[in-house]
Amino acid sequence: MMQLLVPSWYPYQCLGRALDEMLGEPLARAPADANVAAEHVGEHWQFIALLDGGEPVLGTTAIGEALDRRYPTRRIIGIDPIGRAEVRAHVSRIEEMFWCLVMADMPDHPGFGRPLWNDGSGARERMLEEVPWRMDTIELFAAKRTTRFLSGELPSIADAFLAALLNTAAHQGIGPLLLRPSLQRWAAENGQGRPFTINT
Amino acid sequence: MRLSMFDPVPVPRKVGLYLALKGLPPIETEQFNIFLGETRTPEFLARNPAATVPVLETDDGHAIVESFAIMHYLEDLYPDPPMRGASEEERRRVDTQAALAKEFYYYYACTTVHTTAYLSRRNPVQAIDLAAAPLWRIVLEQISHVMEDRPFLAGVQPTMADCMLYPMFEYTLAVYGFTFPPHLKALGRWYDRVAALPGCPSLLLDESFHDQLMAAHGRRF
Repeated sequence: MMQLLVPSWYPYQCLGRALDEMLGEPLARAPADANVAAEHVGEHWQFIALLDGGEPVLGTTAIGEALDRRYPTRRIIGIDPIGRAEVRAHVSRIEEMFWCLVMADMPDHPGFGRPLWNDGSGARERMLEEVPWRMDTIELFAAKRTTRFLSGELPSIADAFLAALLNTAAHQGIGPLLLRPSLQRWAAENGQGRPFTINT
Repeated sequence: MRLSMFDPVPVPRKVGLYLALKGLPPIETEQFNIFLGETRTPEFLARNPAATVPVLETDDGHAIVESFAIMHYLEDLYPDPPMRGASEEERRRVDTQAALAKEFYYYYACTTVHTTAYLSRRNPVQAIDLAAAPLWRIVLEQISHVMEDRPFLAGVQPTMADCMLYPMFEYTLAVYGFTFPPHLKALGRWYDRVAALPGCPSLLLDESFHDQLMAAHGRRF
């Protein structure tokens, strides 16, 4: 049985929930237990993983690709080669911002067992500087959207990652900073449980 | 098809390495110096509003951006020889390693540009390294863990995964002074193995590259 191993760290909780919402059904969860993680993946791995009996699938894009093959009728990476390239390009851009937020959140994450940066260091703010200009790029492509979702009439992994990004930003209190006009329209049309739950 | 590139920097080099290893017929290629604003002309922005390279323009006028998407597109069109895995098991490993390669470079580069005086636009913030270095180190350890004792990242033949990671190391070694963590010896051997592959393009940085890089990203003291 396919299971998601989702750490309790909220960026990955947001991502797990968005993947459920994209598929329209919750993926089974692997027990959130350190021993389980060590059994399936490297002992230091603290991020999301997809378990299916064989080697674990790690990394957000790899999980999206595996889900696409597991649920081919959902078309979560588009339909034809051009459409699939468009979804993958969106994902590539969105996940960079997601990682920015993950890095900016490091001081609050207790799992690494080592000193983190001090209050007032400016490190978090410097990391977050990477986000708005990248969001401007997403907005450029979202402004050209002619379909309900970022690329087509069905939710793709790009939409799921965008929902996870916005919810992670909301957790950090910077959600409104990320929303641009076209992205606000996307959130209004596709948030509020249809299919995503987006807190801004 | 036509490919817009800038050969000195690592992201387009992923596609360059992929094309060299895939053995496709040559694609018409044009160079755009990102440091000199050549991707910010109206003509280029019409192709890619993000002003990034690589861009693959298809014969029917579509512009495909992002190296990862371009490689998958070419795999969709030309599945042989397979560069994203010959079986479901290998495909998962290729996807995992490709995703981890991108994640490694992103964490590493974001850390480096804010902690290295040469690359940081403003005063470096060393605390970023304290917090963010565990991220890229964990990702590298995981890449080594997944590779096990295979010659390439996902199997016995090079795949997209190798194309995603090798140019990242090639560039960070030359420009950021990266060194392989000493306990990840297998990754160092893998790097040498890819470098020795027939057709693997060499990274050539002329003197003007570092001046242009500093003007675009860093500052002089």
